Amino acid sequence: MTTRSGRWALALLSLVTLLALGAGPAAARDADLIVAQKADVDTFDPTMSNNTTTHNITINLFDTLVRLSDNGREFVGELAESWRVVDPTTWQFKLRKGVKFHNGEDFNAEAVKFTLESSLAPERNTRVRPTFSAFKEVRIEDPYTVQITTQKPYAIALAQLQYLMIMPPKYVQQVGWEEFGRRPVGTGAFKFKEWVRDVRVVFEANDGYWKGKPKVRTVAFKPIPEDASRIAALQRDEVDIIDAVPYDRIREIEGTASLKVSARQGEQIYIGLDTLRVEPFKKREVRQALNHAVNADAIVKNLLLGYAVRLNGPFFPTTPGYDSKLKPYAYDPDLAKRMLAQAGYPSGFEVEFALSPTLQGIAKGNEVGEAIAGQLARVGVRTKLVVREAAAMFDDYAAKKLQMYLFPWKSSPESGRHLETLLHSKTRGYYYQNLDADKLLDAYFSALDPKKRQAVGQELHAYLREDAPWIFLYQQQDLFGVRKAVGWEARPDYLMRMRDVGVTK
Amino acid sequence: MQRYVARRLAQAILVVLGVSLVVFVVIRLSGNPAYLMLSPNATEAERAKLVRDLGLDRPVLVQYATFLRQAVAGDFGRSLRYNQPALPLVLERLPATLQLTAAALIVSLLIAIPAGIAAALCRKTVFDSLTMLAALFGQSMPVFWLGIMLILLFSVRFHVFPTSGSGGFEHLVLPALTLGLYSTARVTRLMRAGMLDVIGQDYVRTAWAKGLPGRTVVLKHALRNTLIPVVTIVGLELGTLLGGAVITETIFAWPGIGRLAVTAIFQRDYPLVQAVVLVTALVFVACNLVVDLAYAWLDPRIRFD
Repeated sequence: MTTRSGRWALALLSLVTLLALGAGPAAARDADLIVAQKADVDTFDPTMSNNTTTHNITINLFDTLVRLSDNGREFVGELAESWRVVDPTTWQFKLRKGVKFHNGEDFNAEAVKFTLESSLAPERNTRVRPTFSAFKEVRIEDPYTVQITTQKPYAIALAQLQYLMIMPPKYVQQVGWEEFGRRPVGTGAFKFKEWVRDVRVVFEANDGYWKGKPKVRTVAFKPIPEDASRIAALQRDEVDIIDAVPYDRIREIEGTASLKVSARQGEQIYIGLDTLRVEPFKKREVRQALNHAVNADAIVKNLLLGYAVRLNGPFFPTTPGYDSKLKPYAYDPDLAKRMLAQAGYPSGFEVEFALSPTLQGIAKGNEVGEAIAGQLARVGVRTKLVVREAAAMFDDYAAKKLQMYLFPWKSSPESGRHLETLLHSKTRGYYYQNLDADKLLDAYFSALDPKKRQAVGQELHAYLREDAPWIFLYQQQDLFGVRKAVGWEARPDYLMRMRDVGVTK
Repeated sequence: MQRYVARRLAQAILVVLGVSLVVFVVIRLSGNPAYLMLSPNATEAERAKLVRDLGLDRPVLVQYATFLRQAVAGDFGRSLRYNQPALPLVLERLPATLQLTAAALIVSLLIAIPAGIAAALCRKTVFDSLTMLAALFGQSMPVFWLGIMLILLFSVRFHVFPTSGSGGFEHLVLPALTLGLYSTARVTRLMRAGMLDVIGQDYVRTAWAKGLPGRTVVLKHALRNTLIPVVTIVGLELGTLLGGAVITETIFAWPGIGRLAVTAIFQRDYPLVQAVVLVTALVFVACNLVVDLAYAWLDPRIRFD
């Protein structure tokens, strides 16, 4: 009896002691600069992940041949010092000399060849293969000159190569891919130091970096999946930068003196229409009427608090050929009703409208979808909302089962590749096939001369706006919460580079 | 006793097999990972190739047979997302989850047992009503709400504990409280009811009549006989706690298998989901077995032969 109650007392006492010990000041920081994202790194092997969260981390270890300039439109050299188009399917790159990988291995033409070839190797099944599928091979002219060839004239070669993180051939062959995915070696501004899965990734400064050493000694990336917890960590100065700030927390962060919100261009949100199988959507007038029936401006203003840009077609503002003089479809329900009547639907029609709240990238997906359903009802288009989980929605999408769907598109607006992927009948062609559009798209993606591409792009933009394969909505902004003491702003190429970021105490 | 354990182990294998089949089929019905894995520009052909290479184009039962054959040999396949063997990914996170679950259980027992006893002894007083009201409140609070409120109060408002993460003991306090309070409510109610039941019994009255000190009567004669239903519910609570850990781990960025499961499910990382579920099922079945065996120790009248 006595021993038992004695044990209880001891347990209680030790718990209280431990509680008291825990009640110290804020936990020590793991690094000079701490970034909290929704998820942990998948793998450090850049060919095995197709995930912005992961790329945000790996871009600090690796360099690319080119990068997107700060205005989000041109490309500037990184590991490539210069380049030229040799013939329509051959690009020559002069490589930077004297760059070394973190293990001392030289960066040279061999590394470029190795990286592109192992990204494309069919037996490796890399996740980035689709990004580089237009490239054919790398020919080594001399140790610091390579020729990269493409399957066909490929206007967006640079825009795709900005994602090619150069890997060290000797190191990979020595340790194998699996170990490389855990203990990576690159040429980047930071060197790998530590990875505790689901807890933290720590890098230390690469003092021999070819652009000069980074401003901080160490940087850590921590995964905090829950939005509220990530914001709490920022408010308490446990972390310096957080990603994916939800729209309804913007005011709170802006209202804290030591914090700010940094925004960058994000996903284009559109409503895809099945123009091949759904009878009313086969008619261009109906699709145009729907564009007039939706009040996207009100959604941007009221639901997204202004953190989005209204679009006048499927082009992003930074896509070559974007024509700012084209007006977005005006919100005019009466006009929409008249157009529907003329097209033979005076009393409207019924259609399924698919939404997915778990689809990554759509801010307030359900609210936006419901608002649009309400607006469409006003012109007689009765939507049946079908809400699905993301993976299930993709399956239905690929099985061509959707009639009308709210979708996001993010990747690489500066290349305009989404136009080819989503609207060319030879690529997906699930819901829209139009030979005239195909012709313009082909011309647009083979125009190597930027001026010509601009001109063809404008024509394509005007055509697609008119043909209205989608209901065009807006481009969201990706929101980050940042401590003002940290000199970081979100960049248009979607990557979080930490080299130039300093922290004032 | 040995026969009993052997029979229970055989049952456990059946349970785990059943669970694995259900999960295997359900996750495959709910969407394909190929879209989420490839970059958005992937063509139909590239997607189809990936599906083929992953073996996902074969009939589900054929896939299941392959999975079982490999699983017996300890090979649970490779995680699609992390591109590494799935089982080690789960096992390396298991200690964190067990630590959190154990801490939550300790929290709940430390509060629930004294509170339940006290409420029973002070029956029909204000203290009793307040305890039961608190228990009702504790059971009605959603875990995620409680977790976020605790963060706001103890981390953001008063800087007592870190908001999330893991490492030191200070990281464990809020998640353990969050996870433990739900069970606390249930165990308190059960403890009180059991105690009320027992203190009306003849042998307890006899103990009082003998003039034994109150402490001895309550702790030795009454408490011990109240514990059997409590042990049962604690065994069941373990399941609730392991399940609750999914939410708690996500809120507090705790690196356990619950959080791993959430990401794996959203990514349709089939091999990883299967490995997580199997490991969790094994842990659960093992806990239940231990609970059943504990009966015999608590109540000498119970024998398993």
